[in-house]
Amino acid sequence: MRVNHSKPSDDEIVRRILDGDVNAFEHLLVKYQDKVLRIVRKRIPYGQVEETAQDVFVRAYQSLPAFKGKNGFLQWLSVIAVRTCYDFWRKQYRVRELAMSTLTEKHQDWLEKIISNQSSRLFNEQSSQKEAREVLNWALDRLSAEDRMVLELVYLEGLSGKEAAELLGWSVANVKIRSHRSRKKLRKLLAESMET
Amino acid sequence: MKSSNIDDIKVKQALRAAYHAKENNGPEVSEQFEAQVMRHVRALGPIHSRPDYLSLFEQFVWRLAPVTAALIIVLAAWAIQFDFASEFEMATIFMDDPISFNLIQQLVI
Repeated sequence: MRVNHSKPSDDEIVRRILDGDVNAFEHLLVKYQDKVLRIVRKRIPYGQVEETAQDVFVRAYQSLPAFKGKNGFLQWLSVIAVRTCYDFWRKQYRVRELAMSTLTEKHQDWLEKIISNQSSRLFNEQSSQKEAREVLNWALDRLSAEDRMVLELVYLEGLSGKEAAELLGWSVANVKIRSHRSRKKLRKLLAESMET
Repeated sequence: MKSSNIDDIKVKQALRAAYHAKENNGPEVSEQFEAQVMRHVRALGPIHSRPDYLSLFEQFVWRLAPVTAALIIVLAAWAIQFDFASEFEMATIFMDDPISFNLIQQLVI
């Protein structure tokens, strides 16, 4: 008799979970943990990554009855991960107290150097990346949760309007309008910070 | 500085590089991560595929929408074809004074 040692497919695991085998969820957790963490790390402050990633898996578990398997489990899980990050920022923006600070001189210098042709390899340097990240975080903190998500997906990750719309559950038109507005806001924020 | 300068492709590239660097530079999750998730999941207990009543209702509504629209068009055409105004007047008289309306009806009959 031949024993089938091949790994069970995602659909099979989901079916087992829905049949009451809670422990089968661990297979999905181990398989997709790194991918979920990559999605979350980009969008959430490092201190809250683990908690948010946990939230993603718990939500995924609770939503399993709605999983249809049409686009694959990873795509389905990515949607949950992105929306969990979006919810994180929505909650965060409700309670946050925004500091009225502008960019520091160091950041302004960095921006000046990037815009001018002084150094084409500047953004590859480690110290420059740190400043870039701080400028980016500073600007994103000043946008709404919606603008932030759409700017990250379309402007920073380079997804199409349709892809971003699928991830966020919005219409393509809404994503395009938001994307245009958020880019304009980012541009304005950076320009104003340079003027002060 | 003019805001058009900010559009510069270099700013976009630099911000993109910083954004993607976040993905790889973040701290690793604790060793208990998997155990914590599974503990939470076990606490929730088994889940079963239940019919999603909301989506069933939505499907039902959208399937009925064209039928309803067709019915409205037919009724509107019928109301225009057969003089709806006189029926409406009768209804108004009845609503205003149902007793005398009944008497008139009986006398007429």
